[in-house]
This record gives sequence, structure tokens and C-alpha cells, in this order.
Amino acid sequence: MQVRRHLGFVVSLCLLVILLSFGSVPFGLSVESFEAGEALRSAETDFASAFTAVSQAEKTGANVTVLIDRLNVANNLLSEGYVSYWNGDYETANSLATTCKETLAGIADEANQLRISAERFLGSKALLTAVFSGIGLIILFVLGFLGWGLLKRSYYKRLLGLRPVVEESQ
Amino acid sequence: MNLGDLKFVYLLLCLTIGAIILLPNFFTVLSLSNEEPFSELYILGPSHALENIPSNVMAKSLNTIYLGVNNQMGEVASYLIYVKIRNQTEPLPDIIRNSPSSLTPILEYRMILSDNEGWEKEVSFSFDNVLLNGNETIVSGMSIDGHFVSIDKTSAWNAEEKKFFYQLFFELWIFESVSSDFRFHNRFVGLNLNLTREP
Repeated sequence: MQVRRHLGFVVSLCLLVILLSFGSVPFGLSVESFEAGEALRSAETDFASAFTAVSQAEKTGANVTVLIDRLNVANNLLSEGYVSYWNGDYETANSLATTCKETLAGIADEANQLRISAERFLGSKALLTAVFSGIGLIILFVLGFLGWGLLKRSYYKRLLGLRPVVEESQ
Repeated sequence: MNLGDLKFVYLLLCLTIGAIILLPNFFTVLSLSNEEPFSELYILGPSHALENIPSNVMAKSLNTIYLGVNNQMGEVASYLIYVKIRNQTEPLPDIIRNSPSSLTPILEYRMILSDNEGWEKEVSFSFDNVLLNGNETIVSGMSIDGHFVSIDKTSAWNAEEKKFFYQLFFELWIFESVSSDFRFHNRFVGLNLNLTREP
């Protein structure tokens, strides 16, 4: 009686294990597809942030060549990831999305730092230009007055130096 | 020249010099670029020219083209090219409505290009799994740029043009910072293909 009960327990345990393992196959696949999709979307979001930061840095005049190269590496990984996903290779897609995210890590921060440096440089350049222009205008103003004084004096000197010429009338 | 005229000329000269001194300040604020920004998308044949572009293709034969993009947007741009294939009844992108084709892409290329920078890639493709079924061909698989892709495209025999029509086309998308996403850039190029038994 006890042996039969033990046997029944073992059989039900085995059945449970078999059922679980069968059940886990489709469940595992659907999670993998979902995971790969999520990983690609997440990589896409990271790419968007990184590219926006690099683009803004470039607009301020920062040298972003190295960052663009890194973004292009991430871009290729993302493309390959999507192609794998469309072909049903979710594992590769997931792995490529993860590598893409790793490649993108830090790019936005570096771009923001470059943008801040470029903005500072631009600001100081604008200030320097304004200061030199101001100095230039002051010099022009002073020299203009002095020059006008000299010019006026020479004009009058030339005017007073003129002698009337008497012409004989016919 | 009287004193009044001399004063006028002198003032004009001083003002001109003043404007020249102030000019660099305007350039730090304004950027004088009146060029219309645009992007180029093109296809070239295997000889890197606008000739011998594949049109009559056989099953399992390898065809090569060059696909290129040029950035003339005046700033760095991120591009995405979707590769799609259609038969004679499926939709092309609508340039007037600025909408892409609703077909699912079979491949994509992404690239980031600085202003005035170009990108070019050799793209090889072949129709691998082709079935001739009466008056129609069914393509269930093709290789493109080293990737095998499963497709399901049927093309009916076009008696007028005497061909099984397929079109491999490339849509150009561009990243938009405002929406933080790619949008169709209203440009596409395509290859009109006739799937034949003989070259």
C-alpha cells in the first residue's frame, strides 16, 4: 500500500516535471521575443539620446568625429539586431541590442561635456570679439576727433594761404 | 571742396571703418548660409555608373548595385534606409503625402553623416527560392547583402510588358530631434526587376 503511494507520488512528480518542461518551451520563446523587442527599443531610445546630444554638441562647434564613429558602430549593431529580430533570431537580436547599449553608454555625457566646453569657448570668443571691437571703436572715436581737428586746421591753413589773383579785365 | 563736403566725406569714412570693426560681432551671432538643405539617395550599377543596373534577373543569380547617401543638410544627420520588396500590386511610398510604403522592411542600413559627407555600399542580392506556378512566380526567399531573408511575394505574368514584375526599393528616413525618432525623408530609389528564366 505504501509502495503504491510512493509510486503514485513519483509518477505525479515526473508528470509535473514533464508538464512544466513542455509548458516552459513556448513560454520561454515568447519571453525571448518580447525581451529582444524590448532590448532593441531600449537601445533605440539610448541611441536617440546619444545622437541628440552629439548633434547639439556639433551645432555649437564641438569636434564630435570620435563620437560619430562610436555612434556608427552602435548603429550597425542596431541594424543587425533588427534584421536578426525580423528573421526570428531573438537571441542574437537581444545580444546585439545589449552590445549596442554598451557601445552607446557614456556618449551622451561626453557630448554634453563637449557642448559645454564649446559653448564656453564660443562665449569667451564672443566676449573677446566684443571687447576688441569696443576698444577699436574708442580708438576710432579718439583718432577721428584728432584727425578731424588736424584736417580742419590744414583746410583753413590752405584756405588762408590762398592769394587773390587779380586778372586784368578787358 | 568746401568744409561741409569734407566733413561729410570724413564722417562717412569713419562710419565705414566703424562698421568694419563691428563686423566680426555680427558673424558670431549670424550664420550666413542661404543654401537649401537636402539629402541625396542614389543607386549605381556594378561598374559604379548609371549603366548595367540590374533589370532582368534570374533565380539564384547574384546581382550587384551600389547604394549611396549624401548629406547636404548643413549639419550632422542620422539616416536610416529601409530595404523593401514589392510586386506590381503592392504600394510604393507616396511622395506627395510624404508617407512611406506600408510594406515590412527586409533589411535596414543606418549611418550618421557629417555635413557634406557621403556613404556608399555595395549591395548584392539574389532571388533564391523561386517557384514558377503557371502564370505566376512565387519568391519565398532571397539573399541580400549576405543575409537570407524569408519573403512571400507572388507576381502574376504581365502579358503587356512580358515580365514577372518585382521591385526592390530603398526608402530614406532621417532622425528628427523634435520627435526623437526617424521620419520618412520623402526619398526613395528602386530597381524594377523582371524575374526571368534566361538572362
